[in-house]
Amino acid sequence: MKFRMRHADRIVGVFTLLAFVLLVGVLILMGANQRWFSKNYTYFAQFPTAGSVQPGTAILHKGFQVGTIRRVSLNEAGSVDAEFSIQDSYIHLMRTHSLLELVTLPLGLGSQLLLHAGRSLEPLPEESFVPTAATVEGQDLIELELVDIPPKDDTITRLLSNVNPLLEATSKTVTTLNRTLTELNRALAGQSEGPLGDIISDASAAVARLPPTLDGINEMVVEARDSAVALLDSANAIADNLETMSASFADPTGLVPKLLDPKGSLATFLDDKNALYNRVMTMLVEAERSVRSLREISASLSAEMPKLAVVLEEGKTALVSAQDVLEGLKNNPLLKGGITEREEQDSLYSSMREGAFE
Amino acid sequence: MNADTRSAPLLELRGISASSGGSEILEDVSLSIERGERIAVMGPSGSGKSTLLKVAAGLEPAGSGHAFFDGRDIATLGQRDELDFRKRASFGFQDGALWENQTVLNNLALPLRIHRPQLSESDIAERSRALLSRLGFTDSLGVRPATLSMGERKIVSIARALVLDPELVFLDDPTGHLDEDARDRLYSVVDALVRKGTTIVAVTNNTGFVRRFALRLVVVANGRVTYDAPMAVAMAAEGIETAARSVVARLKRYAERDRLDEIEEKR
Amino acid sequence: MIERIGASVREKASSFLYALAFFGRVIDRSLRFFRRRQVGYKVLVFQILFTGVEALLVNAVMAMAIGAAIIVIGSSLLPQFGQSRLMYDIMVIVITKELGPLLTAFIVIARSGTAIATELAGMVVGHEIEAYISVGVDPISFLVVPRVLGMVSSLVLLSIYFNLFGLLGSFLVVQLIKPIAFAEYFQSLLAALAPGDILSGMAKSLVFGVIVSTVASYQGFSVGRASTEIPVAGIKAVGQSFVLCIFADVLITLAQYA
Repeated sequence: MKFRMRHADRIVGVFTLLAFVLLVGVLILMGANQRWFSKNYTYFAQFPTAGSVQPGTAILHKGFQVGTIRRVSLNEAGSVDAEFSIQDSYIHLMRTHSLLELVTLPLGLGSQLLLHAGRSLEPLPEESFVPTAATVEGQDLIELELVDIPPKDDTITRLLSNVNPLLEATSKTVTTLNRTLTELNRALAGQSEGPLGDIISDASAAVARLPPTLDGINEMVVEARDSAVALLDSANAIADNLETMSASFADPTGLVPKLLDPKGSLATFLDDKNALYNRVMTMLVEAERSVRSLREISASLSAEMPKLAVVLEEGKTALVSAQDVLEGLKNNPLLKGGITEREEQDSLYSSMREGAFE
Repeated sequence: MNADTRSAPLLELRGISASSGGSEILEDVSLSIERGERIAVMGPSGSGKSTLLKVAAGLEPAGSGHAFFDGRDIATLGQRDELDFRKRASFGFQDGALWENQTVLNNLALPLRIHRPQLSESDIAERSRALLSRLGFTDSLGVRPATLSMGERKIVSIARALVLDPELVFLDDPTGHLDEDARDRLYSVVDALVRKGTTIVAVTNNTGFVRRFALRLVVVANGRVTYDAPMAVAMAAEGIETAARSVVARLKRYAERDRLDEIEEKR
Repeated sequence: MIERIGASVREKASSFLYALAFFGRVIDRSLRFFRRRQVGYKVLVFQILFTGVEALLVNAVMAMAIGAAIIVIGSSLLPQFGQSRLMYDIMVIVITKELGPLLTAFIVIARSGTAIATELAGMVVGHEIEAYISVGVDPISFLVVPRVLGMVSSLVLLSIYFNLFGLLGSFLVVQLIKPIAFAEYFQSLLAALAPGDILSGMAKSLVFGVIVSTVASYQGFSVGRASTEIPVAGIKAVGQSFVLCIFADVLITLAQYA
């Protein structure tokens, strides 16, 4: 008690001073951390509406905040003038042809304002005007590839970029199938030089590679369900691919219909009541339907993931049927085989439906 | 203004009434005290004499009526006038009312620090010690009041009231709790006040004190002034002994009546 | 009946006016305190010692416990919703803005609010207040103002320490149970902390300090002559302080978000 009495002033002084030192210390650290003292560079931009561009809106570059919208005002021309600042550590991004892009996020998650650095070494002077991607000027910059637009990191993008090569592989398989059928045709016509069985085995093996890759799609589809569909450009590309593929199937002047024509020579040779023909035809129909579905999606810009999943599932079924056909070809009476019983797999489609709508 | 205050009595009470918890303590008391007067206020306990003293000293609010010090209403004093009043008029409490969380020295030093800011701390300590030793208090000044006896507390309290050399001193039962020895010392200190011409208003039932110092005797009973005469008149009329005896008899009577009233009230 | 209601309303109104006048006088004298440095300085130092320094331990323990609880819950529960960053916002809101000032105020009410009320009540009963008046000392300037200022500064200082212990001390506690990276924690915390949060917390502490000290002083002075009234004053001071602090907290919080 006596000790404290004598040192009351000192204790209280330390108590007070320490608190203030701590407070000031934290404020300085906060300032350093939140960049209160670093210089910002000001630029201007124009937007059609201030809906998603408000003071305080972050400007992102590759997921990092590089700047902030400071002020917006409606000008006489009816568009919105915006003043924004770029932090000094990111000022190197501000080059001639740098571009702002307002990206609307799927599922109503709002929007992001992205900054793309121009492909130029010339720094953009402070207080310059920066075009946005939505304007003619911005589109020109993008088309002339004067802007460094990074690929958008998004599950759907990844999925679709994986689907595309897969479909290309499918398309290759179909080409092989075509070639095989041609070879078959030629062999039957007595024009072939190689052994027929080898060629057919080759084709079968090529198709057999497909299902595991398609299972990969299933996983990706499940993953993608959590996100949302965007980037239908890629979907369009897939549609184009599928279209080409189906066109080669459906080409009335091609070899396949001729080969499979019930009145053709092969039909007579195989003599299986057109089973092979029907299977190939079903496959074509299904592939076509898939293409149509994909197209509908791309046309209506639907962001519904289950639909895409269904389409891909249908594509898978179609291609599995194609494999069966080839196996049938390989094992047909000519080669003394037959179609082996396929172990029925759980349909991802149905399980997804349950998950999505239950 | 100067002339006005000169002519006014040092302390004047006009129609003072006070109540506490619904019961009247003082009823329409008027009193005028001139400079250099020494008044003894006597009366039975519960008669309101302590309250009268506190109202006169501005320590308790009057329900109605006014108390004037040097011509100014003490209820409406400005800050500067209030300080002036407190410097010139001091109060010795019945039960000491020492500041328990301060040392004895600080109890005396605080008024000096406020009203005599030019004094150094050592002067203040010196002055306090001198006054206390005149009153017979020779203990350490560094102790707190809690360690003191009732008599010692009383002495410190009176010392606190006198430390500023006031013009007017209110003393509430100055001789209470004091032993013979301490009383004698108190008397010698009051003698010094008398020589300086200090005005004294003392509430006491100690006839020795009254006989020795009082110039005027006021008796309060049931919240009213029932007797107010110069000491010479009181002495001449009956002699102080008889006066006192009659007073005591009256006190007893009043006390009895009060008690009966109280019992009546309780019923 | 009607007369009784009327009388009670008049009494309530007059006591409310008296309380307001008391408060106004306290504020007025507090502002004057800095103009002339008087004897109250020592009381101020001791008030900070009793209210601030001596409450530091309880304050720190409470802050660390709450902070650690938030960190443990936040770092195990929130990632399940993909909202692990939210932990830092929750910490700032709970410790810096809301619970910190309020809990510190509660500690101080329990410790010093009662102390002030009973001490002043004891002084009234012992006629010490009258003694102060009799020598020309204004009890509000001399007794209340140092306590108000001491309590306000103690609360503001304690809220700084509450933040320190709640935000950083709790981190150390959590290290014993479930280590997390300091740099990541500290930086995220600094990013979540806005100067406005600190300011708001300190503003609350300031208001609470004024409330607790004024209410305690008011209740202390409200006793009469009986020593039995002293504990009653303490009880009333605690009750009223609690209610008024919560009320003020709600008002300040509403003012911030509205």
